[in-house]
Amino acid sequence: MAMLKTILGNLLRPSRTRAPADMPVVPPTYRGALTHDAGRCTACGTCAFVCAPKAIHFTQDPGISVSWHFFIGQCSFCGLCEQNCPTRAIHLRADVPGSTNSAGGDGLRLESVIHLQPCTRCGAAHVPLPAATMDALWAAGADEAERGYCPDCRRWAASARLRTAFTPDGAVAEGGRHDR
Amino acid sequence: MNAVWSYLVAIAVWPGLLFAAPLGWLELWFMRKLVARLQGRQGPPFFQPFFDVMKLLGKETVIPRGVSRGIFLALPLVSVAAVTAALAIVPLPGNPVPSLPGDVVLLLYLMEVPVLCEVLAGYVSRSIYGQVAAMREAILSLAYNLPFLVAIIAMAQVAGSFQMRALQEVPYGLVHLLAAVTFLLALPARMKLNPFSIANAEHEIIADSHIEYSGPPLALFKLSHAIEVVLLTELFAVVFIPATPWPLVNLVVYLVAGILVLGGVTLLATTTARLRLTQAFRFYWVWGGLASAITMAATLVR
Amino acid sequence: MNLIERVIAISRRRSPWICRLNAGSCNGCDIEITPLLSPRYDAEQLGIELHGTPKHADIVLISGTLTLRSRQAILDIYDQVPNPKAVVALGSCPSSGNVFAGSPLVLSCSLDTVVPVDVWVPGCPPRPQAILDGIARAAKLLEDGATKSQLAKSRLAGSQPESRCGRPS
Ligand code: SF4
Ligand code: SF4
Ligand code: SF4
Repeated sequence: MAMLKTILGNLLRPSRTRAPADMPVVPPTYRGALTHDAGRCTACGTCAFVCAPKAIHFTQDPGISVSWHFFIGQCSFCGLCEQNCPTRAIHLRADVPGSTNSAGGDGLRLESVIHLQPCTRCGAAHVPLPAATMDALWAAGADEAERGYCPDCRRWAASARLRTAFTPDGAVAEGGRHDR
Repeated sequence: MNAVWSYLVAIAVWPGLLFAAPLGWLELWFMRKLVARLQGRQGPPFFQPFFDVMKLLGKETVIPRGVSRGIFLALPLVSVAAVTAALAIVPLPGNPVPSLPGDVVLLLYLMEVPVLCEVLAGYVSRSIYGQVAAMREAILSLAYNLPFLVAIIAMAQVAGSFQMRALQEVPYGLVHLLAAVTFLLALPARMKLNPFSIANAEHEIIADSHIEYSGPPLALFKLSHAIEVVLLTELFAVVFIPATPWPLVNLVVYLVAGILVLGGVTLLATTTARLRLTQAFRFYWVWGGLASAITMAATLVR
Repeated sequence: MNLIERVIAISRRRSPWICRLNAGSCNGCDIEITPLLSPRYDAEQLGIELHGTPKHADIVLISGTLTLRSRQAILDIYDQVPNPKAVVALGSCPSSGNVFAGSPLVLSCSLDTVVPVDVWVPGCPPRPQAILDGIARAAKLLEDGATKSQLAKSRLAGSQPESRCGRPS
């Protein structure tokens, strides 16, 4: 009888079915397809390292760019890459990835190109730091010129500053270049 | 010549194929929609059964290796032909076929043919699931045919004749009610609906006995099932609903009664789960047998 | 195109019967098919019916990683589906092997190398609405006569893919 009550109740109420165009919204914490912000990425490779199914990989165009590749057909939407990305360059969208008609490309693969920049000091091509990181690092009004340095030159500049602090006469040889 | 024409019209147009197929689709849609609504779903669009059959007609037919091609393709045709011929005998208002003495026997025989076709379809398919389904169908038909046949035979006993028109003209009485109940007992199993959907148990044996059928032959089986639904509901209406002197009113009453009966069986199908074969068999031989005995006794006392 | 062909083409879109094929799935994708039959998503509103036998199916839903064992089964079952037919690959596993890629007995390659796939539904597992969308897309392809098997047939070429994955050569 309880069954009868349930089904007759169903009959009297409007159906609970949603039309295909009007599907339930996904929760905001839903882990959908990845987006990648090349401007924030430092090409550190952490995301590729933590990804168990190896959905992320990098290719290089030496001296010009590094490309971040993502294949949605290999992703298990675990969200580890987003969690571990130090610069929050990866974001898992909170919507349902749509189906596609073709295997290889369109929509299933994502490529994002990170352009290298020449170092303003030594000229070596390097991945620039994200703008937000630079603002945080050099906000104190330190040497603005260091913004365009490659990591090696940054290290050199930092050690140079250290040395000036310890040798107040300021006898630092300007010509000291790091080994490449 | 005239008689031949009237038979042709009865089989092809009214109340045969041209009328029964759309009505069958309508009734199937009604059943599916009702099940969906009872479950809180939206259900299929109105033309769904029509689309199903049209799509199947446009598909390829795969014939399993080692299966006799002739019998494999003939079974659905025989099944459709038999139910259509059976429907042509039912004296719906305006049916051009003259009522012959003994046509009830012919009707009962023709109604067994689709069941036989299903059983054979399962056995010739060489699929183990199809054979299980065929076995279940055959055993179940032994069970549900007891109340089904008794309901009709009791009416014939009261009418004193095995003629459809005579059955229709029996003055309304207690036997009608008892026989109607007995008939309704057998109806869910005949329509392969839920508590007795043992032969087409889609979760246990994948599909019914036409598991190996595809394309147009499967479409014919679907068509045959649609017409069988019409046949069973209209047979119930014609035999057990008292007729009025106005044929048009009769027709409307019969159609409405058919839909109501379907609604009732569908409600039963939605609320229940599938029985086991032994349980169904016992149900029909104990309760169906009891109902049959009471009905037959009622024809004697009168 | 005459009227009957048109009606049949429309019926193909309006009545896609599906058959589910588990090629070695973790069951995640298969579980997500069940809600399709539930009141919320109700696949029957699109005319979709779930059938157990490939003989009744128009669209085969294949989920899971391809394994050495399941490869032949997929080919056999695909061949049993009467034309015209479409294949929908569910989830990440069929397209690459997902996390299982590289395991012994797992063919770490795309399902496309075994049977021609028409629609890929990404996700692990995909949401029911994505599966519904994938089936609707495949049904539309069936109506247009644009599934890979239909195209291959009209070109009178074999529908066999060129590269065979996991086949001992
Ligand atoms: S979500 Fe998980 S599986 Fe997908 S790319 Fe990120 S780490 Fe890899
Ligand atoms: S996306 Fe994040 S984790 Fe991946 S390489 Fe770029 S910065 Fe590193
Ligand atoms: S795609 Fe994900 S959920 Fe689906 S079978 Fe593979 S591992 Fe399981």
